[in-house]
Formats: sequence, structure tokens, C-alpha cells
Amino acid sequence: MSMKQHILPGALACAALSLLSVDALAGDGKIAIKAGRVITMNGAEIKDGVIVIEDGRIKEVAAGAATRWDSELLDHPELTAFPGFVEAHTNRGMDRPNENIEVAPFLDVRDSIDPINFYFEDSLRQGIVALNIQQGPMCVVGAQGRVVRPFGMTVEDMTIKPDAGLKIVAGSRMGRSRATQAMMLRKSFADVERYLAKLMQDEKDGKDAAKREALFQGRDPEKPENKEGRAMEGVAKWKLSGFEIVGRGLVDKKQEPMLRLVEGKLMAFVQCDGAASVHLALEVARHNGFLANTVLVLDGDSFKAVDAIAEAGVPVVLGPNMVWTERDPLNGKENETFIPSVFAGKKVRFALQSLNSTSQSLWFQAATCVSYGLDRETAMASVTSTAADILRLGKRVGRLAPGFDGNVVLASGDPLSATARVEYVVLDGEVVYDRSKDPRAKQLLEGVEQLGAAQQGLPDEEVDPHSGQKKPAKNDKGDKTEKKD
Amino acid sequence: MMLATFLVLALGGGDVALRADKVWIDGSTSIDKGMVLVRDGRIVDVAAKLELDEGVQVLECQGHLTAGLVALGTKVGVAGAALDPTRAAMPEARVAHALRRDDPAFAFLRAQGITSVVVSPEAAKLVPGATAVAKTSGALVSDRAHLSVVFGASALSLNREPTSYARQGEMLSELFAKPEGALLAAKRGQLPILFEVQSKPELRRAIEFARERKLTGALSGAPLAGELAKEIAESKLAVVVDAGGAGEPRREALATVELAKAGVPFGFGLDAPRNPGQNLRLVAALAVGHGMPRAAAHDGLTKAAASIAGLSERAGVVKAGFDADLVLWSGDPLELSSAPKAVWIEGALVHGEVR
Amino acid sequence: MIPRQANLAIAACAAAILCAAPAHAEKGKVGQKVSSVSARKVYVGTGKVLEGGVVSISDGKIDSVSGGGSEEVFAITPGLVDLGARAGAILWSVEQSNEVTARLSNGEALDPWGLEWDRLARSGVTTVLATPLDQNVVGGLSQVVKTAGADSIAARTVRKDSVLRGAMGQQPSQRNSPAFGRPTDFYARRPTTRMGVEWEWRSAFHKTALGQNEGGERETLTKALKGELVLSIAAWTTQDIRTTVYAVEEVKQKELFRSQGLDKPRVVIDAAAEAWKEPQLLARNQIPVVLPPFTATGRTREGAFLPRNAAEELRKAGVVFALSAHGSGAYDSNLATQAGAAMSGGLPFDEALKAVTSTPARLVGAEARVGSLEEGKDADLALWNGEPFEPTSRVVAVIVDGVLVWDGRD
Repeated sequence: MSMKQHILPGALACAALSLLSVDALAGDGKIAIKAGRVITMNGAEIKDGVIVIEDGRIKEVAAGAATRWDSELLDHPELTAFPGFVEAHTNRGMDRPNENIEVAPFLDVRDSIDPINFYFEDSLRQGIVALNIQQGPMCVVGAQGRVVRPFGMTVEDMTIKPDAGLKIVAGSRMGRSRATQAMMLRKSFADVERYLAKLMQDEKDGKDAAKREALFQGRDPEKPENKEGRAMEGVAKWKLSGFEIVGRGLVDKKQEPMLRLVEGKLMAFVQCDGAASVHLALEVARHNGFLANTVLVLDGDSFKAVDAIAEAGVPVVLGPNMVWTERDPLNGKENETFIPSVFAGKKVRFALQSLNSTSQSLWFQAATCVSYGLDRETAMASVTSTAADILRLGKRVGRLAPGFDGNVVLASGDPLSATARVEYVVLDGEVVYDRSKDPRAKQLLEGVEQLGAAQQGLPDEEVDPHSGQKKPAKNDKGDKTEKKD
Repeated sequence: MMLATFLVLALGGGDVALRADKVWIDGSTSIDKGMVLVRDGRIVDVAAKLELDEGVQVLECQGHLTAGLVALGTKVGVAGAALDPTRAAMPEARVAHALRRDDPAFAFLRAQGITSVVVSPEAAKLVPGATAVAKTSGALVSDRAHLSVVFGASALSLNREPTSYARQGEMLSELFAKPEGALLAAKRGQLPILFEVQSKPELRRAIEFARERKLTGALSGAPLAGELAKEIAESKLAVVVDAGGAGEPRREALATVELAKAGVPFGFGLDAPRNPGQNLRLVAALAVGHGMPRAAAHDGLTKAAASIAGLSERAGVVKAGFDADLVLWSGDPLELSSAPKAVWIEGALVHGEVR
Repeated sequence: MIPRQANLAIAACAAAILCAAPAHAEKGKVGQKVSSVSARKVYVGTGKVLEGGVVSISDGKIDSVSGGGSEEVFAITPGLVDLGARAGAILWSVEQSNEVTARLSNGEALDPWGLEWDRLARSGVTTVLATPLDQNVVGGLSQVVKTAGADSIAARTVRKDSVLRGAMGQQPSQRNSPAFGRPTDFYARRPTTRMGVEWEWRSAFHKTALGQNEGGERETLTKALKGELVLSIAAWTTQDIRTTVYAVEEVKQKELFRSQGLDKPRVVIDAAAEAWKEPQLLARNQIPVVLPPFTATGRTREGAFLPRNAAEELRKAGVVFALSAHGSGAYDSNLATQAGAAMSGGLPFDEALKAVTSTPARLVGAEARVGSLEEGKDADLALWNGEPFEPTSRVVAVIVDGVLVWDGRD
């Protein structure tokens, strides 16, 4: 029987997909986890703590919490529990991260997320429990992003938060100048304004949709005191007076997301490739009234605009490479700046991103922050609780506390140490990762190859024939397609 | 215009005296309201006041009169023709044989007050040949002024030997171990060597090579040479300052200042026709802005450069017996707002006019 | 020397030369001589640890290492040593007009002002083996050199021309093409296959033994076969490692080599990603290896696979090994990170420390000067703000030959 199953390709594929799910423990989201050390990110650490999860949510986190007789028990006094890491911004996990349409807020990364992408499996291995997936930076106004967990057979199954925010790019992108990008970004909002104004004018010009909208809202359109309607909310510097007459469903789906942004109902993740584009990003956000919902995603020397960022009060997601290197024009020597320290010093809330070029994950980035003198609490928060707060998921992920999603990661030691490994990942009360049953981890750690594993090496070092220098590693813009091993 | 035409004839023919607001004999000596007497293309006398024969015309020049500038390391008149990377060494080649004397690039340089140039072969092989020295009138002064020897990576190729610094050093040692012709003359000190370098390590290797073999000449290229001013001073080699070569203008200017401080003889190079003639003065002025004494910068454009070019008995100084290569500037030539009003080469007006 | 502020550094240099007043390793004295430095833990590099240790320095050498000091920093280790740093391995560092250029030295190609030295020094690496670019079968002579100090390679060289470098496998044949298309190009006649590369090695050895090659080549290869030079060969895959070992076994066994004393090559296999697959082969021949950097997926170059436990497996099998970052000074991939990665694969800390200090120093015959904190050795120290190799720690200051060459402390 088993022979027959093995030769069925379908069965093989299923086996591959389910290789991380632990059938025996798959249940109703009811589980208790005992760990020698519990890092809650919500007050003090707990020694020999118990995390009780019911219906997929954390019910209790305490040293002596009672566990139900019928719940699964993950009893590991030798392990350290923590809420798992939050990847506050990434372009990975998608079929292809970039879309050629320059202004496309009507797109949704939902249609591009690939649940069986190995990236998600790797994320589990690295103890990541939530990822904010955003379109790549090759656009002006991009798709709506989505916060997902790295486990699930469908995108819906993975989703933590749909409509997580629009991707906006303030920096120059390949083949375009910063000025062109700025012009197009401003124009994209002006287009929305113009479109809405026209829509409103059309209504004023006598279509009866306004009347229908008024009736829908339960007001008599003839009475002047009943002007409350679909008014434009938000704090944009432009307003359309009389917009309430625009009927429900009349705004084109293509324009709707931008309207929601301007009305303050959607977040924006604005990518900046350097300090110069930070100012543009803040100006566009202010002018169009979404500053309060803006998160800046920073690259390059954006940190030099830290004062403007602090003044605007927006949080930031820092670029993958945390060390900025510059040459002194007078002696040619290099000077280094550790970017997270700059933001910590100005009390700007920041989250970190994994370094995709060498696949150094969030734990390593946070550990590096400690090595550069940041306090451990801030460093850990930047990849857990603060990251969740920035994504407006501060009541769901990033901390171990009652009411939060039942996400727990168990590591073999301190999560920031070189030798610790992720042993278990529990998502919404289900054990979704168990290292002892992870053949790819076994291969990486012990060289034991899976049957039929494809050989794939790294490209050989490229040498510039003119300078003779090794070519710099590709930057971490996320504009490369996923490779599947 | 009539006057200008007349002046050309006058300076080219009999005696003519020029009187300028300031006559710069060299970088450190000047005469206010000085006079220069020119006869048959040569300077006959320079003084505050000259006793002139009857009938000698005196041209009243408003501005500063200096010796014509000397640009080192140019490729004027040989664009493309001096490039042959297929062979590793051609010591007997002479760039003069490829020189196009009517090249319009000369006129551009004349207009910038440059009256003499050293034309170097492209540094695309270990020994690309001999340099030429020409007046920007097109007249050839020397068809074998220096032997160019390349320590820079520009001599390395990926298609022929050598491809490495190590083999480059080995091959150059072999060439100088059994020298003939131009190499022998260079080794004996009869033909100065222009050591073409780009980076500091290359420069240091060239110094070492020269020291071991007691070779003389100048280091050419290496925009940051001045950062090794002390070592260069000990080597007794001169330096051709490669203007703007490293793309780090302030650092280069500071380095060039160090050359002057260490007493290294240096002249300014100009990658013409790729770079315009203005660059020559620009780099000198930048160096002054970063602390170089004015006299050193002035001499780097004239006297010291002429010496490196092998013209120390003919050009670069406003002095009796020297070629009447003169430039009248609207102000101090090291002020960038000054411009050449008139340029004479061997007494002939080649650019501008005097009113 | 890596001054944060040029003026300060120059002033400090001047002070060091004029006053020569040694001081403790205080912040901001880059260029200053250091007379002593203390730490909560001093890792000597031989397995010994001193709690509250003090390293005393005079004339650039270690005077003594003793207990009972204050705690200027958390930890001190010997300056790290990387035999695979590829510093200065620019295109012009290798002569490609011939596939065997043993006599040529890459010393000429090293730029003492190159920024790669500073980057290495900032990551705690104070000594490296600088090899020519691996574009030749037998590339040439390599240098053991300090990453900081005087702005002269000669002054920073620990051992000159003491290692002969070459490569097995794909790298030396990569640019080459069969002899059609571009017949004037010398890449057309060079080996285009693995077997061609192997043949060039064996041919070079045999020509040397038979006296059929030119003076400089024969002299250098003779030294290498006699063991007077270390022979560093890059070989990533099992196949290439095997080929290298068999070539060594051949010269050890053949009478042609034995009769002339040419049977004692001291081979170190560099970038030996797959050494863990057949460790007994290496152990049997007592051939040490240098591992390439660990990667996230385990896949390295030339299709070789390097698991996290490779170092630990080699240790268990008795193979001598060193770690390498291949020149990276970046926080995510420097030599300390490699040591941490090896530890994540089970290698004990003491062994990881040896693999980046005393072992590589010994493999290139530089152990008398670098690789451990013992009396009389060069005062090359890495100062750490926490436990070495943990990602929560980093090198915060570096001392080379008793001079503070970098200080990143606040």
C-alpha cells in the first residue's frame, strides 16, 4: 500500500506540503506550553512559565497557570518561549514582487502570495510568526499589502490582516529620476482629487444617484439640515465640499483605495531610498492627509533625515543593512554609522527587517543592535512588540499576553544567541513547526540531503574586469524573484 | 583688428617692446609696469625700464604678462594614433611620428595661454615609446623628450602578457637588464623617463624601480601622489600632477600642496584633448586655495613644468635669451576670473589682440 | 590605521612618535601605543582563559598576560587570522598569460591603502593570507600580512612569499575556451575542464622533478614540494578535494619525487566546503583545511554543500581546520559570524576560537608571532564588548603591534 502511495506524484506533493505540520498535535487551538523561560515582551520575563491557549488565543501567561485536562501539553523546561518575531516589511513570499503598472492601488498582494514558497518555511525556522508582505519598490503607488502568518494552505488561511496598507515609493527607482518619481507621486493624488471632483460634479449635474444615496442614509435630500452624508473625512489639505452627494458604489474600484488612504482608513508604507526622498514622502503624506497612518520604509542614507521623521512622529521600518558606510572626502577612509542607534537616540519607533542578502534573520538583526549598544529590550521589541504596534497589530501579535493570538516560539536558548535554534512554532494554538521533523533543517545542520534534492550552488563571485574588484553584493531592495531550491 | 594684424608682423619681425601692468618673470619674481623687449622671436631684455632704440614700438598691455603655460602629459594631436595595446613594449616608438601638427586641439590650448605641450603615448603597454614636445603653434621641439615607462594597470591587458603587476615588474626588469637604444639612453640618464602610474602603490613601485637602477625623470599620473610627498622627495624624481584624476578634488588639492611643501619639483599635467585647457589653471588655482604658495603653483604651470618638459633653457621663464612665449592675462593668471587677452609663441601673436 | 577623525589620528600619531608615552587602551587614542589592556575575560587562544586578565605590552610585543586587572572591556582575544581573506585579490594580482606562474608574487599587487584592510581590521581580523585571484592553476606566491599598521605592505608582512597558491576545480578554467573562435587569445589554449586543471598540477610537479621547467618556476615548485613553502590549494567540492589529496599522495609515493626529497608538500586546502564528506581521507594524509563562509542554505560555490556541523565533524575526525569569511568585514558575514555559525553547528567555543586564531597562524608558519596571546608574540588584540562570536557582541577596538588601530567604543 505504501509503495503505491509513494509512486503517486500527488501523494508526494502532499507529503512535501505537510512536512511541517504535525498531524498528531493538530487540533482545536487548545494547547498549554510550559517553558523554563518565558520572554513575554509584556512586562517581566517569567521563570518556568505556562502559556495557556484556547480557541487559538492566549488565555493566560503565568508561572503557575492551570492547564485543562483535555488540552495538548508542550512541556519543555529546557526551552525559552517568546512571542515570535514580526517581519514588519518584506517583498518576499510572492510569485514576483514587482508590478509594471506605476499607479496600481487596486492591486492586492493577495493575488501574488505563494503559500508554498519556501520562504515561509524558512520564516518558521527563524521563529517569524507574522510578515507584512508588500509589493516591491518598482512602482509609484503599489498594491495593498497583507500581514500573514508563515503557515497555511491558502492565502486566506495565512492572513492575519488584509488591507494592511498601500505601498508607496518616494525614492527614485531604476531608470527614473527622483524628480520624475516625485512628480508622478504627486500627480497620482491630484488625479484622485480630479476624479472625485468630476464624480461629484456629475452628481450635481443631475443624476439621481445622490437622491438614492440620501435615501439609503435615511435622510431627506431636500432638507438642508440633512447634509450629513458621505463626507470626506481625514485631514488632507484638499477637500471637496459637497462630496456627500456621491453615492455608495459610485467611486471606481480602481480609485477607491486612494480615497480610503486620503480618508484615513488605510495605512501607507512609504519606501524611501535616501534622506532626500524622506522629505517628499512626508510632504505627500501631509498634503494628502495620511501622515498619521504612514510608516516609512527606509533604505540608504534615509537616517540622515531623522529629525524630520521625529518631528512628523511617524514610525519607521529600517532597511535590511543596518550599517551605513561613507568615505571621508579628505582622507578617503570609511566611516560607519549604525542606523538603529540613530533612531533610538531620537526616540523614533522602529522595526527591523531581515537581511535577505545573507539571510540573516530578525533575531540576528536584533542581536546586532545589542552588540552596537542598544538596550536589549529595545532591540527585542524592534522585531516583536514594536514591529506589531507599527503594523497596528499591537493587541494581537508580538507579545505573550491574554487575548493575543496563540503564537509562541520555543527556542533552545536565548533567542538572540548564536547557538539557539527554533524548536517549535505554535500559531493560533497549533504546533506548526517541530524541528525534529524538519528534514531541511537537518540538511542544513548536518548535511543529510533529502532524497532527490536538486543541486544548486551560488553564482560564482563576479569580478569587475576593469577594477579587478569583486562586484558588490546585490542590494536588498527585494526586487528579485524567489528562488526555489 | 588692423592693429592686431600689424602687431603680429611687428613682433615677428623687428624689435618690439611690451609694457604690462605686471610682468611675472617666474612665480616668485615680478616687475610692476615692467617691460619685455622681443627680437626675432626671442626675449632680449626684461626690466622695469628699458632704454629703447629709436623706432622701437612699445605695446601698452593692460594686465599681467607671464611666460606661456606648459602642459605636461597631453595626448594632443595624436588621438587614437598612439594607442597600440597588442604589444607589451615598443621602446623605439616615437609619438612624434604620429603627431598631427594642424590638429585643431592646439588652437584650443593656445587660447588658454598654453604655449608648449608634452605629448605622451597612451600608457597602454609597458614601454609605449618616446614623448614629443611641441609648441601649440604646431612646431615640434623634440621628437624624443622622454621615454614613457608604465607602472600603471593601464599597461596590463587581459589578452596579452602581462596581466598582472607581478609579471609587469618582472618584464620591466628584464627590459632594463639588457637595454638597447632608447632604453639604454634612459638607463644612462640621457633620456629622462616618465614613469606612468595611477595609484599610490604603483607610484611606490616606480620609485623603488628607479632607485634600484638610479633612473631619473618624473612620475606622471597618480592624482594623490602628494600623499607620498616625502618618499618622492627622497627619490629626486619630479612629478606630473594628474589634474582631477581621482575624482576627489579636495583630497587631490591637499595632496598637491604636500608636494610643494616637500620641495618636490612638479608641473601640472593636462589630459587634453579629453579635458579642456582651462583645467590646467583650475587645478593650480585649487591647490592655491588649499594652501599652496602662489609661487609654487605659478612655477608648476611654467618654469617647473618647462624643466620637466626639457625646456629649461628655452621656456617657462620671462628671461633674456628665452623663447618669446608670452601670455597677457586680464588679471592674475591664478585668479580663475582672469583670461588670456593675447598669446605669443616665439614672438608671433597666436591668439587675441592688444588694444 | 583607521582614524575616525583624520586630524585626531594624525595628532595621536605624532604624539605616539614624539612622546612615545604608552597608555591604557582608552577610547579615542587611535594611533597611540598601548602599554596594557585589561578585560573581564582574556582568551589566550590556546584554550586558556584568564578572568580579570591584563595583557601588558612593550615594543609592540606581549610582555605578559596575567590575572588581577580591572575591566576595560568585556573580553580580549588574539587578533583574528583569516587564511581565505582574498584581500587584494584583484584581477591584476594573477598572471594569466600562463596557467602555471608559481614564481610570481602577489606582493606587488597589494595596496596598503586599500579599504579592505580597514574593513577586516574593524571586524577584529589582524592577520590574513593574501593570495592572488584564483584564475590560474598555479597562481603564485602569497603573503601573510597584517591588516593594519604602517602604510607599507613590506612593513606589515609577517611572512613574505611563504605560501604558494593555486586552485583545483572550475575556477582556473572558467574564462577559458576551446581553441576556436578567438585563436589570438591566450584563454583559448588554457585548460577548459577539471581534468585539464588536474593535468596542469601534475604536469607542474612532474616537470619540476624532471627538471623540465624554467628556473624560477622550478625553484618555487621545488620549494613547495620539499615543504619549504606551504601549498594552498582552493578546492570546494569533494571531487576537487579528492583530486588534491591524490596529487599529494602521488608525489609522496613515486620514486621520482621521493628520491629527490620532493615528497613533502605541506598542503592546506582552502575553501574546502565539502571536506566534511570524506574527513578520513584528509585525516589519513594529515591535510588541514580552511572552510569557506557558511551560507543560509548550505549551498556554496561550485555546487558544494556546507552544513553547519562541518567544522564539528572535522574536529571529531581529527582534521585540522580554520574558518574564513572570504574577506567580509560586514556585521552579517565577518569572521566572528563564521565562528558563531560553526558554534551553531556544535563546535565548542574554544575550538571556534582556535579556528580563527592559533590554527590558521600555525598553518602558515606564523605561530611564532601571531594567533595567541603569549609572551613575546606580537601584541595583536581584538577587544570585545561581550562574549566573542555571539551576535550580541562585537569587536569594539583593535590593537596591532601594540598600537590601537581602531576604536569603535562610544
